[in-house]
Amino acid sequence: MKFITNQPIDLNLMLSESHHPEAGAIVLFSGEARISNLGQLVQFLEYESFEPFAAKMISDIVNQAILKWDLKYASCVHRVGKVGISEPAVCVITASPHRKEAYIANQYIIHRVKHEVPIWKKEIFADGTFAWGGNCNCADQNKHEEFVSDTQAVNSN
Amino acid sequence: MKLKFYAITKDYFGEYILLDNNIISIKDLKQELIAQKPEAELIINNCRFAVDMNFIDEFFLLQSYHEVNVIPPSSGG
Repeated sequence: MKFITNQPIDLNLMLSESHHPEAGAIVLFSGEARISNLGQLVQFLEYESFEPFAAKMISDIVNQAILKWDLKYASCVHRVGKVGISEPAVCVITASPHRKEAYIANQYIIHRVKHEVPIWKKEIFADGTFAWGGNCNCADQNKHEEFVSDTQAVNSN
Repeated sequence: MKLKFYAITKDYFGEYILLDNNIISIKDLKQELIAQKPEAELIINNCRFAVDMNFIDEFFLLQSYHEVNVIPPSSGG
């Protein structure tokens, strides 16, 4: 399974690979490039990664989610390089017998990927300026740990 | 010791630098980097560091043969 790619993410292909006879629920999250951020017009995004380490971390996170919520299928692919507006930068798919586990596991995976995995976004604005990062509204480490803890606790409810 | 930089840290230091100093800890390493680029202090203090695809902590003993990856805060997604 590929976790980092420099090619466009094919959401339909990823979804077609996620079906499982024991999964009654499939959740697909697509994180896509927005045309504006903080009042500035975005021309495109560029992602960089520490690829082997990033791929290993995503693999570990996905496997932990599969075990935690007994998922029938899970995948996560993050794109690197130039990403145009409305194109997917990351896709997470989770499949489980019922929807609750698929939703919460999907949130868990994307949250940890955004906060922990060595991948970086550069926003290139229409005026030619650029900015690193800046996509996250909850960068505070305590909030991140609280979220991970909360989502893991949902399993036992 | 070889250092590899990513994303915003690359804008300050380039992709690689070599350090000859007797740096044995992350604390020493941060001080050296900040001494070289005082304007990068905020980002250096928020970086994680990795050797051989493992994050290292303040107790890790750095050796001259290590390649240290300087990892700024993640911003994927």
